[in-house]
Amino acid sequence: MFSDFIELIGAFVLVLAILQITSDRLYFSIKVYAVQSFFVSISILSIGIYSSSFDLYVSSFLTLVIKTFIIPYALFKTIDEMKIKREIKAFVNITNSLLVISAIIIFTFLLTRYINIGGSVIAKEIFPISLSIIFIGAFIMVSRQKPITQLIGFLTLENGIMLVATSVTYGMPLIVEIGIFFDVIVGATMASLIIHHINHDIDDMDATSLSDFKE
Amino acid sequence: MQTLLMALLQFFIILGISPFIAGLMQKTKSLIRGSIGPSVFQPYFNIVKLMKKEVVLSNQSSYISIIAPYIVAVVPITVAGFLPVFDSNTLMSFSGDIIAMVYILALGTFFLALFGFDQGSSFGGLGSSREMTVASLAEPAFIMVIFTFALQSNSTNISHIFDSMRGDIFFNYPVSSTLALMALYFVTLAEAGRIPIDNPETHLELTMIHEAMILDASGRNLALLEIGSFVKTTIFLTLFSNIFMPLGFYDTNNIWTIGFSIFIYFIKMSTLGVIIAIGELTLAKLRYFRISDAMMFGFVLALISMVTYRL
Repeated sequence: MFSDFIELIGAFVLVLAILQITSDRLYFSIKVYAVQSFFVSISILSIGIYSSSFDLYVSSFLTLVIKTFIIPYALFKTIDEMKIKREIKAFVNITNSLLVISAIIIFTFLLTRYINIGGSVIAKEIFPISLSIIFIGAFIMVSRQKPITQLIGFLTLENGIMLVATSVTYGMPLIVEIGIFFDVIVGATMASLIIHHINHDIDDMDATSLSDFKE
Repeated sequence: MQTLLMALLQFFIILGISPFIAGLMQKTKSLIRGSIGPSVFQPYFNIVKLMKKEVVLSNQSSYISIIAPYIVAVVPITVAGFLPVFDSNTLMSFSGDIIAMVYILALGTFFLALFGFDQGSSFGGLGSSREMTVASLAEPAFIMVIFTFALQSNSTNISHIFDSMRGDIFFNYPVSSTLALMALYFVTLAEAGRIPIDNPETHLELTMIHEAMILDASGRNLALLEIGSFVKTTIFLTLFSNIFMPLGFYDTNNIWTIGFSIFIYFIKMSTLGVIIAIGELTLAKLRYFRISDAMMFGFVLALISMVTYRL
């Protein structure tokens, strides 16, 4: 019953990851990311209650504060400063991305049936779900043109890693998790800075125009 | 005898509640916007008023315009006979299954589109063409959701599917069921013509889909078309509530438990109506050419739902 609840939350995270693919507005993407992080933090909290480990409570709290509030706030601020247009440019259009995503997810579910995880796993279905989220994040990173959506892809991927790490292994050591959070914050800040510079230097948000700098 | 009585009671409950749900959605939206809005029972008064008025038909129209409103109204009413509310013996449970139900509903959509074309006005044809596009995009997602539940319960009989949902299916397959739920929500919005797909309130020619088709209808014809659309919305919500909120009692002979089940059904339907109304207020209508993306989202969710169940 308890593992079913965790799988239910995991399914919501997966639905939000697919919804992320369909968005063509930056504001909407960031909102979807915030809600997704909220569900990830609930999932971590419930695993923490299940295995009664203090580290997971801290991790869940940090996820809630950093990923649901601080990073989306910083991204909103970046967008407002840039006056970026609302549309997201993509190499692959939305309908085709959805088809690719469905193939990826089906493949992931097939693949994980052949992987034998030793030890006691809390929620069996979380493993393929979070692996799919990692692949979806990677797909967003390669299929979008603007750096800010690529950043959102990276953050989605990181959510997937967080989910798989807590659900399969009862959480990492606290120091590693804090390191990961630090990584994400620094990554997001660096990316915002770089986006700012790209926008300032070449008056365009398109990452493809970076190849113009080649000699 | 008792079975027939129960079946008739369920049938009339679904028919009776359907204008109320439409009125409730309208009232919720008005209240949240800060206005008072028409009464919850306004759709009943509208239907009675329209029934008394005479029918005006365009001189371009053929016999299709005379028969189409009746077919559009009768098709969802027939389908209402398939759906259980508190007892698995429904009026039509001896014949047909959930796939038949889907395609009987498609017959109503077909005649509604014909009615739009038959008026000879450009709005009708425009609305019909859009409606058929949306219907053809929504159908794969819908049928895929149906297949998921048919696989999970090893049957395509509606009462049987609802019976096994009442068991533990939702918690046996949480991932599959959640994805199917989301997909069915999108299909419901598309088929009932609610906001991300179609705006039921506006008469702006750029955005209307359903309203464009019934623009030329008047009097009794308009009443019949409205009854058709109310009952269709209620059918989708009943399907939704029976699958995803399996509360209340089933197959009891005690009069009190039956009353309690009807009450629970009423609460479930009102909750869904309010949820959809709030969803309408928070979302903007999608551009017409983005509807395919929304429906593709529903289809992909339904597909993944089926595959995760089987794997």
